[in-house]
Amino acid sequence: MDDILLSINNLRTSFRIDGQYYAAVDGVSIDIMHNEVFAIVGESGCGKSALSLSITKLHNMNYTRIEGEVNFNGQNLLDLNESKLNKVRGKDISVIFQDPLTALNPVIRVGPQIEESLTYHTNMNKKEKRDRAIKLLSEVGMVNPELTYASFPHELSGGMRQRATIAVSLACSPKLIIADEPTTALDVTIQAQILDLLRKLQKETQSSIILITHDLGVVAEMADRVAVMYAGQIVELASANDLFKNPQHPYTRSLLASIPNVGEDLHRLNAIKGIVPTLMYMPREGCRFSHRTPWIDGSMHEENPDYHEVRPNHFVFCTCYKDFYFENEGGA
Amino acid sequence: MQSLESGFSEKPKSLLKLFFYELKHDILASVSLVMLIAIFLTIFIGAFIVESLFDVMWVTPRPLPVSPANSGTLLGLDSLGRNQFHLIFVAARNSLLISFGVTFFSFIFGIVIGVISGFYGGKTDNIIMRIVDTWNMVPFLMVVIALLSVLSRTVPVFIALLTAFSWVGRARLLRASALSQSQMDYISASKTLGTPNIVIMFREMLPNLVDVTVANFVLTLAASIGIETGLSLLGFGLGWDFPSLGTMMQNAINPMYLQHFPWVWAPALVLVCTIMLCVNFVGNALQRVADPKQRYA
Repeated sequence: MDDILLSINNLRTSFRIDGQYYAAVDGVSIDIMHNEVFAIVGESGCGKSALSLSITKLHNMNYTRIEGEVNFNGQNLLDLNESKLNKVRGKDISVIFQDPLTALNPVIRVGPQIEESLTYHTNMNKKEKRDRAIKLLSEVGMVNPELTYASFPHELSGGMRQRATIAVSLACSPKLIIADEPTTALDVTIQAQILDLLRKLQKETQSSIILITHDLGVVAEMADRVAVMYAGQIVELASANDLFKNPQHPYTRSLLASIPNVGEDLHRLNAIKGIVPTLMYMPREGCRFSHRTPWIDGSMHEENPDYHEVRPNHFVFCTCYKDFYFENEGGA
Repeated sequence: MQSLESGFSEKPKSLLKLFFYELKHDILASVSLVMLIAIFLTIFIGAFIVESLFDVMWVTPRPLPVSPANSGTLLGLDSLGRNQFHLIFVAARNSLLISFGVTFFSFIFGIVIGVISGFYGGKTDNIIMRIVDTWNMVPFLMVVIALLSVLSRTVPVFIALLTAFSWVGRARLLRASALSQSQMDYISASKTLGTPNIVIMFREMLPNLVDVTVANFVLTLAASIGIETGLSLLGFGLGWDFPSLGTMMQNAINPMYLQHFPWVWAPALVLVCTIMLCVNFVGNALQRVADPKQRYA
């Protein structure tokens, strides 16, 4: 398939804690296609952000070990040194961060920050860069782009800042944008605006987006394909349609079941038992979700879980999906 | 979106404009700035004129200092019989040169080493900081005093010696701030844009350290004047042929001078205090400019 833009192959990202390495991302393989929105969902601590930061090698390498392959344009990004990586970052791959206030340099005006990547990846002169920055600012919906160009980040509201960071990431028309929880720090109305904007820009530029989020609503609205992550592994991979209509893995089903429905008379919200195990105590063998569904017979799980294609392009990890039932439903 | 835009009242101001804006609201700082400029100009121009017209070291042999009233000079004669009014210009210039030099050079070293150490962190940081710690352990006063009694006591030597010990503190300070800044998202964001590390360090991170730097620059400036004055007061500063504010105050150690001949040490003392106070007031205003959070609305 030459439709693949980015191919992640058996990626394992480990952090050093007390001299020992613990894998936060444990053997993840995904292919990102051209022109698609690929969502990665999961609870906090599932390794979503660790995965996204590994792609651009933004981890502090003093205590991080990244193994596997991240193939982009025929080269393994993990093998590149800093200066070679800098030729890819910003030009072909860019990142939108979670908190727009910290992602913008507080002492530099918005305009020059947008021009930053243009400086290193294009031969534009000052005037061209300025024009491009102002065009980008109006594309992301700034009413007065010239004024915003000369503003400091603290003079903008949260939504405007996130628009500005989107403008920064779009500057060189990258092929891949990694959006790491782009709406988490914003309130709901602004969230909707930002998501609309992202989708509109994605359609226009035909670039791909890796959308990291824990908000299933965002996924439903945006994504073409979805990977559900749990404890450093991808437990279910499907098109957004399939996933919401026909969730298979117990974890996915539990997640969807814990979203309250309007009109439903609930005294308690459904919750998944237990918590995501911390890195140091993560089970490394068998189905990692098993201990959060203690009512399920252990023999349902595979000893060495593998992916099963339940229908075309819909993959589920481990066999426990087959006879899964919720605790309050009683035995199947 | 309309309501968001209305948050702006006017075009963003430049840093210099902001500084003047701050001064307008802070009378103390503006008076200090004017005084400081006046003092500096007077000292440097005055020292130039005095040195070209008179022999500052001209000695009128006297057993004791002569008061202004009895000598017919503005500030009287010191214990050696030198004209104090001439002396103070040259002394103040020497003191200022030393403190400016020490502050400037220790910040250059401190910034470069601190920022590199803080930005890279980990092993690099560890190695650099252990060297800094080791250097910091060397007893400053002892070594300076010992070396000064061997080396020639001139302004450049003095600057070099004090800088050699003063940069350590700056490096640690900058390193601490750089370390916290390097964890910020905007650094990662810049990395994802393909910006080289050296540019991120000194063009993007450094401006964020300005508040710490400016505040500390001012303190260091005041402290350097203090150190120079202190060393000279103890007799380990510049030689007799290089008058400084410290050497002018040296006589105040003697109780008799302290009580009966105040014109010998008072002018230098007043000048040191005035300069230090003004520097601090201006520094506070500068700090508010550098840090938007402290600004008057």
